[in-house]
Amino acid sequence: MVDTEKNNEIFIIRLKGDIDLHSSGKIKDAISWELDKNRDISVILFDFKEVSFVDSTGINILYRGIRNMDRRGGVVVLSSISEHIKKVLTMAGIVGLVRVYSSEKTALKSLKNSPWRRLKNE
Amino acid sequence: MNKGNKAELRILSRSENIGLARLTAAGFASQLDFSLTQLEEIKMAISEAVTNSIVHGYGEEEGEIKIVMAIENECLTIDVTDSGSGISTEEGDREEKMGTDGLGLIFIRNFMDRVTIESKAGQGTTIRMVVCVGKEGTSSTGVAPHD
Repeated sequence: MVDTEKNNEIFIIRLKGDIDLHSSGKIKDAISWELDKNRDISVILFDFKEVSFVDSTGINILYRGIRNMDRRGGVVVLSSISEHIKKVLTMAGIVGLVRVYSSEKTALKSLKNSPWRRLKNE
Repeated sequence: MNKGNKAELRILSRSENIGLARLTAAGFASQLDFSLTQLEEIKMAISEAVTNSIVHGYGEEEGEIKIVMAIENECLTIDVTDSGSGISTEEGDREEKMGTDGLGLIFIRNFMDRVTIESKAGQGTTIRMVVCVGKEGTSSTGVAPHD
């Protein structure tokens, strides 16, 4: 369902499989636990490489992440989203709120080259 | 011209059954010449409708959700029915309760050609969704990655 990794101030969340009502609760808990434990996290990177399906309950996870980072003055970025998921996220208004990268690798490279504080103001 | 077909799935209102409903609907729908994009949209619509029955129809209770799928001509009709709390017209619009602040219904309405919702307080809700082959899918979002 989810695999997480903390890379300095970047919290990488690798979502897996179907993200729906059944899986979203456990994913929310895993994310909340890490964010509460690590107050220095300023960037959440959601990677969709291994996601096969996402519905509105999955999108709620992204909204919560965006709200959380907004309170901290941080940002949320996405990577590896398919055309269909991109369409769904666009309809939900998520794509206008976050940066989208083609892969986790390019997202991390960009975040290292361009500090998140600058991304926030662009 | 498709000769028509019908199937029915009954599931308990448990979240682990949402995936089964999605796969069953997509498998049934594949008898028609839907594009891959449309099949994804059908999966999404049924996922939202079943989630609505689980979360808003039954809540903490457990009940049965009936999913009736029918093919006629080049169209697929899916009825998702629960016997949960339902909602009276006086209580307001059930649509506002669906999904993430109504996002679930936005997806259903965008992905399906026709949607009707019948709901009565204390008796349950039926969401009827109709989608036909050939609806133009918008596979491109025009959003480019920031690479």
